[in-house]
Amino acid sequence: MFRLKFIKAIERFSRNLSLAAIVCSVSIVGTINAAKSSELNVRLGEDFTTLDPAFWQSGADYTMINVLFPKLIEFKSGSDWEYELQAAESIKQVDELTIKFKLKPGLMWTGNYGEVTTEDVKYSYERYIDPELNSPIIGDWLALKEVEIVDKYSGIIHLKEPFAPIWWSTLPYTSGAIVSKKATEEAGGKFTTDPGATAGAYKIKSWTPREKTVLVPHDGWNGPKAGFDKITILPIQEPKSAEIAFEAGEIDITEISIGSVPNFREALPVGGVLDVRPTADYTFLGINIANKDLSDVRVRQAIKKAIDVDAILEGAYFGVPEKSTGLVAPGLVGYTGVAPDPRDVDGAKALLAEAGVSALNLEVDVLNTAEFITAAQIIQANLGEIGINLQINQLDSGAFWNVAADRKEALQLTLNNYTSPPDPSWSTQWFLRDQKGIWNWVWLDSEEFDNLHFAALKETDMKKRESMYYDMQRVMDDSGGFLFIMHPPSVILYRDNIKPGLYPNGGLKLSEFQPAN
Amino acid sequence: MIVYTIKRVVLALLIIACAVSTMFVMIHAVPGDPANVMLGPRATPEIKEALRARLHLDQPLSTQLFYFFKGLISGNFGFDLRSNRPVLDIVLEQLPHTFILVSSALIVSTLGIPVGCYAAMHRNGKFDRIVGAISVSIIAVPAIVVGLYMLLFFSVELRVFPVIGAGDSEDWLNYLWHLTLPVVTISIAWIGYISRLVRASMIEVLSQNHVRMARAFGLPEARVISRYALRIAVLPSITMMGVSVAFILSSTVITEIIFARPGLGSLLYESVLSRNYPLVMGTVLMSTIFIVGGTTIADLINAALDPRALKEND
Repeated sequence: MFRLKFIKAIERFSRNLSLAAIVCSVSIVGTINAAKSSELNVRLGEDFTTLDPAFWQSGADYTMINVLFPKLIEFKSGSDWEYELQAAESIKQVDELTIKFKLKPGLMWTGNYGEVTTEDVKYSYERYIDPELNSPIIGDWLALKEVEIVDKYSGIIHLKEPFAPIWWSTLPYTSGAIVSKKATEEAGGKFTTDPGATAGAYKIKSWTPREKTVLVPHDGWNGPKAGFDKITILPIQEPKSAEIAFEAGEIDITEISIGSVPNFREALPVGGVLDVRPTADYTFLGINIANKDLSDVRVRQAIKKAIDVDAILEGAYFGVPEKSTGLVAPGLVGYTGVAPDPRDVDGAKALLAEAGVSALNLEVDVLNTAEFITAAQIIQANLGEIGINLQINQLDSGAFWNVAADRKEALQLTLNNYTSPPDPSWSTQWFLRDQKGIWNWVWLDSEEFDNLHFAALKETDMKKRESMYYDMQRVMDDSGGFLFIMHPPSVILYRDNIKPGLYPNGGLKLSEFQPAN
Repeated sequence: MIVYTIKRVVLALLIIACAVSTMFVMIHAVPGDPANVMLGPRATPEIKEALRARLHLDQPLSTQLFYFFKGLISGNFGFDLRSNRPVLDIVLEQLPHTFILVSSALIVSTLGIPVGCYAAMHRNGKFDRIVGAISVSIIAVPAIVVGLYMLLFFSVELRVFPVIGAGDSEDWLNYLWHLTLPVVTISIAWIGYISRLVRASMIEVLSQNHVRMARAFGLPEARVISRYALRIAVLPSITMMGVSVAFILSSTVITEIIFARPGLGSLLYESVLSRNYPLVMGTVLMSTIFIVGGTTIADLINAALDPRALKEND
């Protein structure tokens, strides 16, 4: 009896399962058929958290702000850092302190917020220097005096002092984004996820936090026509999951990890294109000058000489990136292109002997990612050859970014990666004397460096400015506190049926994505 | 039973308060400054100080804990440091996804009960041996491995299940379709574990006098099994399933990350890394309620099935 019931139950289950399978299959086929070529599925590493350009924090915020808000000028997609007109019909620096611009007429805000006018531009830029706003990126507009309204479409940006990065990391970057004065004031002067009005190539149709954001073309956009009827942005934190989703056909473009490059180069998914681009970011070993064990420059130079950067690039980064020549990345003002000295173990030993150091115990603090840990292990082995015993401290990101504040001068070596937009002043600012223990974890203490940094900010002659950044990198090199390893590349995987809009550093310029015929 | 239920609920509330307080202290003991993480590298020291003051991070830990419970009592869980949205809203948005995932995994895990029961009834037979070997194998494999291989096989090779997301919550079939692989990833090991547990209990119960007596009276085997053996044999499994809520919930962290699903697990992971204290505490509180609720419900079911539990607690 029991067996009979059991068999009948199995039969019933099988019948239901078959039914469910048929229903599922129909659903799958339906879903696939429903997908149109004018839809684009984009993976970002996380969901956006704030769309206010004065408070943006993550790469997702950056991508969204760039597609939702217009700027006077915007970086071109391609491999070189060049800008082009976007909301502006014309823009010109008439002298070191004055920039005149004229907006293209007809660019509309979403909702009932009217046209983008000079008043919006004035409000967008001047709010940064309003002390009540407390913008953490006030530095981008610190040189701003005011924006003068000439008429509805024309205005003049007046600076208090010359500011060279304005053309590289302010106007074409997030700080150059124009927000609606009326909508932002209605929101109380700042906003997070609901800007009230946008005027970019696309607008938000729906946002399901941590699931997806759907963008559709904005009718009031007066720039080049949007390439897709719908862009779905999917936050996928884990790069491996994103790679699998790409292979399964669920996403059309994703950034992938450097570690996956060799595999994809060997066997690229059908219809996939791999694009590897260097960024302006920099990965370096910081050697704390203020630490008592490292106070002798000969010890610091010995550490630098003993480390095999090529082995790190090969072992930890699969030979994908190029060896760094210094703080400034290729393509930026101040890039030296001078190859660093090769590894010299004998030279390192001689320097240590000269400094009277026979055995040394040191610690290196690293983020607990596979790449950093592997790199640290190679450094550990390299330093072992010259008699330095290196302990590796693996920390999660929350703890790592607080390590200098916690340990101060006791900090010894750090393997670090700093991000940077395409202006070298963003990179040099972290190593000023007033940044010691904040972001200057090397405790570089150079008056010459500081003076050069501030002079370069005001220098609008590109040749002179370039020379200043050469000098700053020379100061860093002489200090023995920095071993630059690479400028980490951005690796993008996309389908060959789309023509992606990519900034030179691999950032997604969604407004320029087009179907590839 | 009513007194027992009240006792269990009061105990559950005490456990939640203790667990949350402990977590609060632990989170604040871990190095990391939320002001640095939240405001980014370019924030001035004054802006960072203002944020620390707003979060009461400049106050002693006991004062911070006081403010936390004060907020809880008034229904204020605080605000997400990054988006400035109310923590309660964010947690409640994510909770249904995790609740459905955990509940489905628990329900699917109960497949272990008939499997274990059948194996015990055919002790040392072919089915028992095969199930034994498979159970031990799958118990030993971590969820992350199961998840990744299922993705590669079912999603990339066969393309029958989706890789990412929770699906469309307004289309239950689509939602179910997205739920399948994550549920199997979590529950597959539990099916094996529960089947082993039920098998062992069942073998013990089947040899007891009351079962032999029932058989001697000529009761049908199905009735003996379902009414006199399985009802007792399943008790340790129910207790275990109450405890398993905690384990399943911890499995959701990795599962939600691999399958890029929204939910409390992935939210907790992200907020811990960014030292987003209000969000961490909101998520921990909800998870604790979930776990303590699960064990309390298991205790109440046990008491209903086995009245001896009520007497032991008198």
